[in-house]
Amino acid sequence: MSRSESAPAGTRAGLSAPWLRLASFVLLIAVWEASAVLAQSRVLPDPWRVALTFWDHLLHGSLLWDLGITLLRVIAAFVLAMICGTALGIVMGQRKQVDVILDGWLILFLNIPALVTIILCYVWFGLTEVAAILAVALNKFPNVVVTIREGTRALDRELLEVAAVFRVDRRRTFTQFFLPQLYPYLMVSARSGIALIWKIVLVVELLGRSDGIGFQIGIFFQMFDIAGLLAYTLAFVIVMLFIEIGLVEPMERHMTRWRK
Amino acid sequence: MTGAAALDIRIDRKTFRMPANGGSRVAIEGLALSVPAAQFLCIVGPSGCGKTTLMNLIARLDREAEGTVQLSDGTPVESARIAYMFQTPRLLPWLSVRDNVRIVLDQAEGAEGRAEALLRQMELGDSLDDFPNRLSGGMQRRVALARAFVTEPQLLLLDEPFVSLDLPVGNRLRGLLLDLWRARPTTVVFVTHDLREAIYLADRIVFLSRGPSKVILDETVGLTRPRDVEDPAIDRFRIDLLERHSSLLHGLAGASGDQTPGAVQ
Ligand SMILES: Nc1ncnc2c1ncn2[C@@H]1O[C@H](COP(=O)(O)OP(=O)(O)O)[C@@H](O)[C@H]1O
Ligand SMILES: [Mg+2]
Repeated sequence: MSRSESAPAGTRAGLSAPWLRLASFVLLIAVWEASAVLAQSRVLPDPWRVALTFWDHLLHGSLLWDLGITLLRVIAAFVLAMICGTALGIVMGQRKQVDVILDGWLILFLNIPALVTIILCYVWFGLTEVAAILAVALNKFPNVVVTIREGTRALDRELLEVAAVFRVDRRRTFTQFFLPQLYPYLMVSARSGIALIWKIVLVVELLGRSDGIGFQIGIFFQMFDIAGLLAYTLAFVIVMLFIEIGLVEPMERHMTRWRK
Repeated sequence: MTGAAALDIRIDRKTFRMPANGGSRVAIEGLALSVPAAQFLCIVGPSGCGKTTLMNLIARLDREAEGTVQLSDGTPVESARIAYMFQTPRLLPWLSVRDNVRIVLDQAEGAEGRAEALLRQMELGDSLDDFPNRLSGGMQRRVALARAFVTEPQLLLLDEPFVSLDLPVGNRLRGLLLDLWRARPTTVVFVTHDLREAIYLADRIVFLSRGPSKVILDETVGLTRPRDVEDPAIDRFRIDLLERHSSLLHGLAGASGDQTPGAVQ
């Protein structure tokens, strides 16, 4: 291939990708706008209305408070599911007997619909904060167990032998020889966990809380306030994207920096 | 205990179960060996004869065998500080070179400086903060060697540590190993299938039969130290040895017929 041929090709691939993304985003807004204009309906507000509504809720409403409360629930449920799921996943990956005993339960839990878990939690533990967080965490928990069990089964015994022969203490064997081997599995779990949890948390709030994004969306639904609904949704999506880009990705880069 | 460890090894029988066919395979049978303190012992045997299996038994990574491995004073091997340089470097890919060596140290020991000094001595001073997969094979083995030495072991096990390195790199590492051993005497068990390497390094060479392995020849290497890799005496020793025991390296008993070649399968 000659220079003159490869150079423009390189520029096209390198430079215009962000622009293409931007263009595609603008197109989405345009399609939305066009549909709103055509429909002329209260249930499909145009982007500008949604933006104004968003601004209004941000300054004069409880958007920030609801966002904060929902985020706290996401974090609490996430941490709970990750810690408990990782612990059980490790045990099941290491002990054949425990695995055999609990495997059936796990399959059962994996297949219980989220809605059922949520309702049962509320019925058994009341419409409380604890029940709400537990319901969300329980929905994520079996996935974590399965992933971490897989990772534990794939552990490199040879590295653990190094720790054994040099008598590295238990704590450091766990944190330096054992856990890092699970990082890829933990990252997979964390990513899919956040994606799942922040969707389920809204349902939990809708059904049994009196604040948070999910609760407000329920109110907007009853009042047919679609602009408010979209404004809240947008705010939440943006925050979750921010967490993904600003927190999860840098963490992943840090954990896998040795791969380069 | 303090100082170099003296070892008593007696493996009556070591079998591996073969999950594939439900049977089992005898890897070691009737192997007895005593290693005095601070001796540099080389174990030579054909590939697959059970050398690594024996090392894992000595290191107590594997405890499932009929027989005993203990220190000569009757205490368990675990009461000695053991270091083991495996057949592959087995470095932790997520730790820097420096941390890979430090990780085996007791933090209370205050021996952090020793790790770095040792790495510098091995000419790894410029790579202290690199991750292992950035290093060449020879450098990785130097890190593994530093890790093995940094704990000041009383018993040092090395399993074909310099295999697959080209000759000059290998020879530098062999020299380094001898320097370290001379500076701080420790009991060394060094596995290899390279007879010349064994003669260059060892006080004593033990030859193993083909599997199931046992000792077929126990030879003292009387060459004076320090030795030169190029020293013709090494080759003379080797040729003489092979003349006396023609099929030694195939794991068969020598021509002198002092043992039966019963291990052939
Ligand atoms: N974990 C194991 N399970 C079954 N057989 C094994 C295992 N480890 C080693 N062996 C067998 O034992 C014999 C000796 O192996 P090894 O000690 O690795 O030989 P060497 O190190 O001398 O090359 C070989 O036949 C090998 O296949
Ligand atoms: Mg081997």
